[in-house]
Amino acid sequence: MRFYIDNKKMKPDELIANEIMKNLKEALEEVTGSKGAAKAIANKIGKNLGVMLAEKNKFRTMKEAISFLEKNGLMTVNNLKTGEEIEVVAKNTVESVPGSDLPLCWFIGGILSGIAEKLESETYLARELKCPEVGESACRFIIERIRI
Amino acid sequence: MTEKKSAEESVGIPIGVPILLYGPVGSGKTTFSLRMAKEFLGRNLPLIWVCLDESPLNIRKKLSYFGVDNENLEKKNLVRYVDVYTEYVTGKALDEPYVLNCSSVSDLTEVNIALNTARKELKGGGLLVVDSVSTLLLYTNADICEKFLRITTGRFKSDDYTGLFILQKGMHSAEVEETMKMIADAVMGFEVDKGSWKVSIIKKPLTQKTAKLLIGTGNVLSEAK
Repeated sequence: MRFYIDNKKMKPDELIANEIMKNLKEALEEVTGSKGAAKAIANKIGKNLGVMLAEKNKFRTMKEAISFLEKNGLMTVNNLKTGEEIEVVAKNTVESVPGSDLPLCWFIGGILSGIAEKLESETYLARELKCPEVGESACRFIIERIRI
Repeated sequence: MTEKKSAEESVGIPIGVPILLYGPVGSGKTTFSLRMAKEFLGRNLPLIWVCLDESPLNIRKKLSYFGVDNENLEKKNLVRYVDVYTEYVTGKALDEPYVLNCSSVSDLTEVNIALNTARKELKGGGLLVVDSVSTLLLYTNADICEKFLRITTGRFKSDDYTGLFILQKGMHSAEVEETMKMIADAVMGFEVDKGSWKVSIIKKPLTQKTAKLLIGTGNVLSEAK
């Protein structure tokens, strides 16, 4: 069985995950009274999850981690570049909202930076950019070391 | 009497001191900062507002609720917003002469450069508001945040800036909260009790006058239109 949300075809579990994340973000924004704080909390939750996933699954590379995220339906990855900074171009993430040009993958960004932190033993943060050349639901994540 | 001295006397906020505003969500920390911004700007002392939680356009609108004439003050070169919010959260930076854009929280060097630019572009000491330290902590960690705040407070103190650093109560571990309190020279506690705001001084130095003005009252906050 498949459902449709904003013209996007989704399996029931994808729909539930998408709705949970959407509602959680709205609730965080309501409680904190600020979109900035809500995004920061969501990112922190995602980061903790990313660290936990990397530990439990003993990822040795980002490629292994990405493959795990894909298998579990969190995203479809079009491109992965590693180096000083890590770049992930993903489509249909579990948080994506078709037609939106806002960076909405707050949890996914956190998960990716959490995995990078565990792999590199440094503090990372993901920046999400829209990637229209890959498709309207595509996101480019730049996961970079926090510089001070 | 100098304008700075006048601000210290009448507002009761010491000049050139980093102050941590500590309290739960909705306890008046940002409102207090807006009120202080009005006091400083009213004396032609500049304002630098670091936006992590909301857009400079929102802060600008809120300042106008206090009767601040934003356009006039921007023309007088008294206001700068260091915007670490808009591009990171919405994907598009603002294009305003009074805004210094930073693309991401991950580059605190860029934020420091923007802060220095703001300091150079505005004349003399004034008010620096970091709204909020909590969001910075969530994106980074206590060590990075502490380093960033020590650099910032050191630089701004030497330029006679009063710093207001906003920290949400209950969002971080007790250890992290204590570290943040250590960095500031003064800590003000905010709370809401039975519908009224209460402000207390947790850590000195604050003047006797501030204590008289603020403890146990909501008068600072009640002036918003």
